[in-house]
Amino acid sequence: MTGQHPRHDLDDALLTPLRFSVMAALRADAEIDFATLRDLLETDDSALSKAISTLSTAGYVSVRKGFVGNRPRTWLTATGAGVAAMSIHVTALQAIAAGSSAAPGAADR
Amino acid sequence: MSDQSGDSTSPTGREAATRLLQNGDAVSLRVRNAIDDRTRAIAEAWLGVGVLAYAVCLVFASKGEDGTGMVPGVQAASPVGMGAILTLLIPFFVASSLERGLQQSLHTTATAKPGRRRSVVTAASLVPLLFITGLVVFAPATPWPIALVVAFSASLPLGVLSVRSALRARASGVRRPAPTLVAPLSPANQVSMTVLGLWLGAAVACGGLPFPAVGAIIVIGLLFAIGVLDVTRWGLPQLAQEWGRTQWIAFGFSYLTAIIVAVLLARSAWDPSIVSSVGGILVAVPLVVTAFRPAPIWADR
Repeated sequence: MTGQHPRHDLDDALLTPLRFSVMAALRADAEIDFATLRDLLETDDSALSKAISTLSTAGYVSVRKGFVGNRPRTWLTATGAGVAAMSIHVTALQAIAAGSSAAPGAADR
Repeated sequence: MSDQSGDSTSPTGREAATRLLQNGDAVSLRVRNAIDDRTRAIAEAWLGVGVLAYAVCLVFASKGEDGTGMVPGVQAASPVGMGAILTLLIPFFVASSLERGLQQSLHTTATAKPGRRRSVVTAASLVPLLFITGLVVFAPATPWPIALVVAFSASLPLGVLSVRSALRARASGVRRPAPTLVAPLSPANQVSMTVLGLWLGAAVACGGLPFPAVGAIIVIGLLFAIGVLDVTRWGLPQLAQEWGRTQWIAFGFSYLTAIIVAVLLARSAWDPSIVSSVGGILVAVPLVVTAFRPAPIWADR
């Protein structure tokens, strides 16, 4: 990849700000329920559902249904592939932000 | 952030990339804060239990001339009596240092000023603890139910804090998933934990042996080592940040054993040498064994 512009390392599934924010929230070794994530990211159910559907299809997010008391909840976690993809994506973003024209190494944040 | 699911904002510009990274960091930090509220609630609850156990044992370890009530002054106690007091004090001191290390590793929400809050809670717990120590020394005729009420009031501030942290964590809808990775403690922490176990065990064992000078040297040496190593990678705060549930349970067992030994030394008619020797072994073994047990690791830690 040496010599390539870092934008080539950006992941299509993480290109929108909402999907990027979902992965940013989930990569902090957390399991978050749907409503909390919606409020945290200040978005609506529909947009978040679409974002999660895309990330889930890409294999970056796992969805688990559960209950807290009698109330159903949907819990979301990042998969290993999702964490790895996010790491590469963030590294590319950092290179872009730093004004680099070549792809960085695979160093984590 | 309203609906941003469109693809028109690809972050190939420097400003857009910077803004995305900053937003991602902010979101990640808020999630981390919520997770740490759960850990904080557990730490505060267990410290509250530790303070309560310490205060209750202080009440029960005190012994009047007739075998009931409180002792007529620590100064008048036998060397074994002083050993009991030291046996009580050391694990409590170690537990406080470990809990401080754990708290330092946690993120705090913007609404709480950790230094100020910690000072208030410490003072609110310390005043009843000092008061009960005063009762043990200067007012041995105090009925023990009153002393127990004071003992409970020492752990109350921590209990309240714990409930508040737990409610905040519950409301946040964020939790830590099961760890996917476990690994041994770092070599420095393995050594620290082993030494801690052996030293604590030796301090407890010397509490009932008929050479108080050796016990005093061990205890003073332990306090000195804890103080000197506090900010180094060998210090107790570092140890607490790497421990998993196994290590915390082992320490809880050692802590309870140590303060129960203190009560037995002061109140029972058993041979103090045997009580303290067996107690010292029971204190040391869990810490030494679990120093080589793995602890969970989460990404981003």
